[in-house]
Parts: sequence; C-alpha cells; structure tokens
Amino acid sequence: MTSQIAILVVLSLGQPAIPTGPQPKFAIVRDIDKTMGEVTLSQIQTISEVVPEKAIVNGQEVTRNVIRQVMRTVETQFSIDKGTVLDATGKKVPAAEIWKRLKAGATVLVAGQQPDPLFLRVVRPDTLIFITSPMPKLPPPKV
Amino acid sequence: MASQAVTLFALFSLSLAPERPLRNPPLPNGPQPEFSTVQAIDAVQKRVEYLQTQVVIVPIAVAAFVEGKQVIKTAYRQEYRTIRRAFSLAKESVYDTEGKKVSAQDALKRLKVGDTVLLATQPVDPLYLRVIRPGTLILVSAPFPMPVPFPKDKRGDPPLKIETLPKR
Repeated sequence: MTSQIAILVVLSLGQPAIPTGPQPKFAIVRDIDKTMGEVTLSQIQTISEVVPEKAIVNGQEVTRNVIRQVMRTVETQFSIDKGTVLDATGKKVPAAEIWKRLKAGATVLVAGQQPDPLFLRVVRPDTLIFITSPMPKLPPPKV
Repeated sequence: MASQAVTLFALFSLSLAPERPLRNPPLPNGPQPEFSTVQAIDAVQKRVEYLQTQVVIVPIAVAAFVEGKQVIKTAYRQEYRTIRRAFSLAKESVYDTEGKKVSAQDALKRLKVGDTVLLATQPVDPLYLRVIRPGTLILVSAPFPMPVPFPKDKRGDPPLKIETLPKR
C-alpha cells in the first residue's frame, strides 16, 4: 500500500497540476439594489441550439437538424445577504465591503463553487467572485 | 474674476454630487474566454498542449410513469469533460491582456508548463480582461467542432423517443 502511494507520488511529481471543478465565468454587474440586497449580473453564454438545415443528399433535398452554438445574454439575481462572495485569494468578502466595492458595469466572476486556485492565479486580487448555487440543469435542446 | 469664481463654484458643487450609477452599463462583445492550464510545450514544433474543460449534454434513459404506464424517456444530463488539446504558436495567435499580438518566439519564452492561460476563439473584449492580471497570455484559435451531445438515428437527427415498456 505504502509503495503504491509512493509510486503515485513519484509519477505525479513530473505532471503539471490539473484544476479541479468547473472554471469561473465572467459577468457584468448590471444593476445594484442595495435596499433589496440584490445585484443583477449579466452573462454572455454560449448555448447549443438545434437548427433545421436543408441539404442535398443523393440529389434530393432533405432537412436535417444540425447543432449550432449561439450566444445569448442571461441576467441573474444574486442576493448579497444570502450568497457568498470571495476575493481572488479565496477569502470571504463581508457584505459591507462588497457594497463599497461593487459598481454597476464592473466585471466579476461567477462560479457554482469555490474555483480552483489554478484558475485564480491569473485573476486580479481585488476581483469579486460570486458563488451561486450549483449550476442549474441545462434545458434539453429544442428539437 | 467673477467667471472664475462661478467656474470654481460649479466644480466644487460637482465634486459634492453623489456618483451616479451607470444606467445601462456596456456588455462585452463576443464570447467569454475560458481558463486553461498548459500541460506541455514543444519549443521545436512551437506547439503548446493545454487542458480544456467542456460541458457536454449527454442523453440518458430514464424510467418514468406517464398515465400509469412505465415508459423510458430520454433525459439530458450535463457533464464536464477535460480534453487535452494542442495549440500551434506558429499557425494560431497569442495576445496579451492589452490586446497586443505576441509573437510565437515571445510566447515560447513567456509560457511555462503549469501556467494558467486564457483560451478564446477571437480577440477577447477588454471588459472581460479587466479582472485578469497583466502578463496573462490569451491563446486564440479557430473554434473546435462541438462535442456530439446527441444520440443519432439513421438520418443523423437527434431523436427524442418515448418508448412503452412491454407489458408483463
């Protein structure tokens, strides 16, 4: 058992670290409602969409469904009182501090869980990271 | 003299006025970049290998009851997949956070195995890059074909089948 662990450690020494968990996403602070304790975030998401497309197969025109990636803007509400906001070092930012630092138009990061430090190495230390509830299930593609 | 006093008063008043929040702050153009880590560098071939995390929609068969009958429905579950990809520094483009193009030679000097970089399919909107540390490199390549998220029938269409189980 000990030798197996030792072999694994030796093998992993030469390997670069691999981040665990999903990467954070970028969002823009669209609106700040201090009285409600809420922030509106806008995110540009790339989603898969099934689009009918005409094609010629064996000399006949057929309609096939092809999958395309389209961009859409999604707005989400984030409750500062209920949610968690971290800085790029992974420390929790108190609500009072968040209100001071937040400005409409600011760029923030959004994640379903605390992002791996490997991702955050390239993020400015003063960046706010909004931890939302785990990602909602993607809707099934429209056919 | 009087006009100077008026100007000074106006400037003073403006400085006292509370800062107005932006009504409709601008949104970035284009897709957001992705984070990635460099896994290997081939200086001779000017090639970089990196890991890319993708969300794919995977169809799964789920048993459900519809009007008292058990049926098998196709549901979709999202999964994360990590894919190792290669990036050609000679053929594709590298940018810095200021939007300046970085030469392949310079990129080779700056990149190290284990580094975190950004991936994009087009030059990244500066709005995204406001939260990224200066010096970070952005690898811009042509979009990859999408992972196949659907089971395909003979026509290549994604079926959405509901099958009734045989009666016992």
